[in-house]
Amino acid sequence: MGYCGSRSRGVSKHDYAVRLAACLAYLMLHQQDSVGLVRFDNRVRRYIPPRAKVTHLRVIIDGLQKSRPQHETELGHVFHELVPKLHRRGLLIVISDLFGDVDGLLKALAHFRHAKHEMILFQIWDPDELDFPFRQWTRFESLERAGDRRLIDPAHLRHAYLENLRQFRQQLTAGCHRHRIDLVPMTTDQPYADALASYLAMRRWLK
Amino acid sequence: MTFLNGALAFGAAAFAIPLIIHLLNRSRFRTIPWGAMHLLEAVVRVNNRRLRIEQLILLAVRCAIPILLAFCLARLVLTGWQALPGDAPTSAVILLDNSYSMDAAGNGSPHFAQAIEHACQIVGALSRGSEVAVIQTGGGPTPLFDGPVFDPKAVTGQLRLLDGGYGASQMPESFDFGLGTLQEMANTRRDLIVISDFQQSDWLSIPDTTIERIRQQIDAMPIPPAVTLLQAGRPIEENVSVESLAFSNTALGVGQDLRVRANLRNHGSKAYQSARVLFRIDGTQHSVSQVTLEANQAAQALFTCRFETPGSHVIEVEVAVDDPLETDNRYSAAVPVLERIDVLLVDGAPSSKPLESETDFLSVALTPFTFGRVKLPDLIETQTVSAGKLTEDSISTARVVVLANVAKLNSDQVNLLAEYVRGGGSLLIFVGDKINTDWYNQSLFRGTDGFLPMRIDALDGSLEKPEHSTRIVAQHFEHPALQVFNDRGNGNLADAEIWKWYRLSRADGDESRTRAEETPASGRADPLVMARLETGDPLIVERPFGDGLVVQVATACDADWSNLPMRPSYLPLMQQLMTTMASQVTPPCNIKTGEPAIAVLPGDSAGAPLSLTTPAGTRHTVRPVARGTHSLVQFGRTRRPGIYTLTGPGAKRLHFVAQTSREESDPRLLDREQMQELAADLGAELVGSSAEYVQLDKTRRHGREVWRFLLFGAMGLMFAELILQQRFTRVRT
Repeated sequence: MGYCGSRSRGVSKHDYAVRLAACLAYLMLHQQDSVGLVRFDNRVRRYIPPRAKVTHLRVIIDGLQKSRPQHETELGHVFHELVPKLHRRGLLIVISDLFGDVDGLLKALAHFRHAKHEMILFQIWDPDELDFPFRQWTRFESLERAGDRRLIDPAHLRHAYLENLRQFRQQLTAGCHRHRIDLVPMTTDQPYADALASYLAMRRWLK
Repeated sequence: MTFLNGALAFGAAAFAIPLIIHLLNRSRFRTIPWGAMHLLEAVVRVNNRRLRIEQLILLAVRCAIPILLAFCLARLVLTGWQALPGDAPTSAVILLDNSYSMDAAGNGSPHFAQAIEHACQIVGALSRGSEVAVIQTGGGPTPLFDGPVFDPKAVTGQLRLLDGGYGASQMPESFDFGLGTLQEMANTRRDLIVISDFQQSDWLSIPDTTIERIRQQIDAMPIPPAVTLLQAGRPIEENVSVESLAFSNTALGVGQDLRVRANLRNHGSKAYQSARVLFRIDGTQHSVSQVTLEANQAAQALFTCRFETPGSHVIEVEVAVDDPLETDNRYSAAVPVLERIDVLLVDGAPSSKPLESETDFLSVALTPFTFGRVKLPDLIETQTVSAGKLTEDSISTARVVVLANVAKLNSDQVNLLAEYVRGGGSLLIFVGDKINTDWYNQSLFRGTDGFLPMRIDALDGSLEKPEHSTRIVAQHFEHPALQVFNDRGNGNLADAEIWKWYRLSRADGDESRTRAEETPASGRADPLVMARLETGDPLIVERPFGDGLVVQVATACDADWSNLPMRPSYLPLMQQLMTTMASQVTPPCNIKTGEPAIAVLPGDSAGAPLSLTTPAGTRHTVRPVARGTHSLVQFGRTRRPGIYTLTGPGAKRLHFVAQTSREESDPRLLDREQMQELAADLGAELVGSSAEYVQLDKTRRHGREVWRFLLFGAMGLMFAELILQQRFTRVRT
């Protein structure tokens, strides 16, 4: 989530996710809904239980501010770990790039659905990850696994990458649809308020 | 494999450019921290090996493009690749023998006509786009056109207009010329075809080292030509020729006898018992002689003639026999006949008493008929003046000026004499008791810069002591003026006693060298000692000065210092000296083919257009150029043997005869074995006709120029590079 492309005006995917989460928390607390926060990477790093007080917003924002993108993401493992902690049926909003094993992720999401939780997945993309615009020889260094680097000619791999990306997104979309989970892709060059508004409008129309 | 433009092949080094760009790109990458590695890793894992191979293929294609382009520009030739018949143009050089031996008609038509027919058929059979150069070998290599010609019809048209009769073939020079021409030609198929009768006299006289040099020259060429020898004509058995005419070179006057010796040779096995030999003067038959020409033997015919009019005349000797080669049955020569030779005698010690004047003996010796009151004309006409009357007017008509015991001259007279000699006049200087030796050395010798041949040193000998006298060395004389005394019947110069003489020396004091040993540092010719005294001192010396000649005698011309004027040899000595001096400065009118014909004309004819007619009847306009007090006209295109006639001012005709050696009159040709040996030495192939040549040409292997293929290849690689680059970006997922 630490990636920040040239078209994102200095806002990394993590920054974008933090701001989006803060917005959602603000909206929900003003509707007297209880809002909690789970911060995770390959395991749960911070768990703030749900509260309905407006003052709880400061706790959540404080928790968001302290988060830093690090380590590899293990969504499936984290979600399985999280399910027992959520005793009451509720709405689970996941803000992530959802990178990792798709099958494992979908199984974990099915676990949530089995517990009767509503789920919304906000998938955060940087535009570079969607169109892979690189031309000259580039060494890609993994943000999540130290020492993992690849020196390639991106122009030769672009088509393959985009094809891989398409399959990944298709697989994810199909899985979410199967489990009746809303998947909302968002790009960091897109104003998150606009994206959020259009999503809420869509939810209202669906209801 | 070779290149026509070898230097451009170095452009292939440009293959390094894409290689360097590739390496630079790999080394100058940028680093991006990337999150979606799981999407990338799968692609890299699947395509990694394939990507490497594809990059290598692309790199190879990109490197190959500049290499192919460089080889294309350098015009790569695959020498071992056989060209398909008719698909590759040829650069062909034909060495065509047009020497006079090709005029022989061995089996009907002359050999030269057969050679022309062969050449035309060969040119006609050349593939489209071929270029051809024809070089005539007779008398030296002469190209038919200024450069190679692509139009075969133009070549055959000109070939059919050619005629033979030229001098002996100069084959080594012709090969050099032909190979040089081939190197300038453009096509990769290169042929050198020699069409000749292959006379032994032409080919066996070429040293083996020269043949070897020609072979090395052929082998060293970037594209060695295929050499073909085509023997035109058949051997002839009989031939009779006039080899030369011999006659005196000294000036000939009107009414004087000229003895001409014609040297004849029978080259065949058939004897002619009474062959008629015709002698003509200016085309009119003068006399006829009969000689016996034994088989393979030489014979002579003598003729004596006398010319009644002055001017340029042509004598011709023809042996009237029926042989296959008629061209060499006649021989011509030009004979200039003088009306008179004007000699100006400048007397340094005049006297009114008979034979007391310095030039009296000399005047008698030069005009014996006049003094003898005989009704015969003297060739030489003398005019005697004192030193003070040596003026431009008096000198203007003189062919020879004699200074006899002249003490000294004023500076104007010295300049006048210098200009006279430099412009082609002749000056004879006798010393005597009146001369001022210091003035002679300072004004006329001037440390070799003046026109006096040698410095005048001390006086030697004594009139009072006859025992101190000396004589002229009796020797075989090489100088034409003295050769007459090699026959003792004409007098003996050694009979005369020389009582007093001046010692003559060079500037460096060494007068013992001959001219052949001399290496003048100043570029000026050194004096030649014509005759010496027994003391070793030079008696008569000569030295060219400008276009003229100066002869210096170390003793007096009268009887004061020697008894030479009293001896019978005095008259022929002075006559020969004057006529030789008068004629020596005149350019020869019998020249070798190729040498320029030069005529000296009066100074006022400079720039005036004159007509010159060649042996073929062609008229050329030539213009004399001013040269000192005279003008000079020169015509260089004398490669064809025969008579060149210059019509000078006032329709006065001047004949030049261009003569060639008669070596080719020997009719023997190279036999089959000798031809094969010659072909082996030259790396050539033998054919007997143009049809055989065309057949041989079809089976030959030639180098093939492949620049078109390389160009197409380079363009194909450029397209391939574009397509591959597009295709390689669509890799498997």
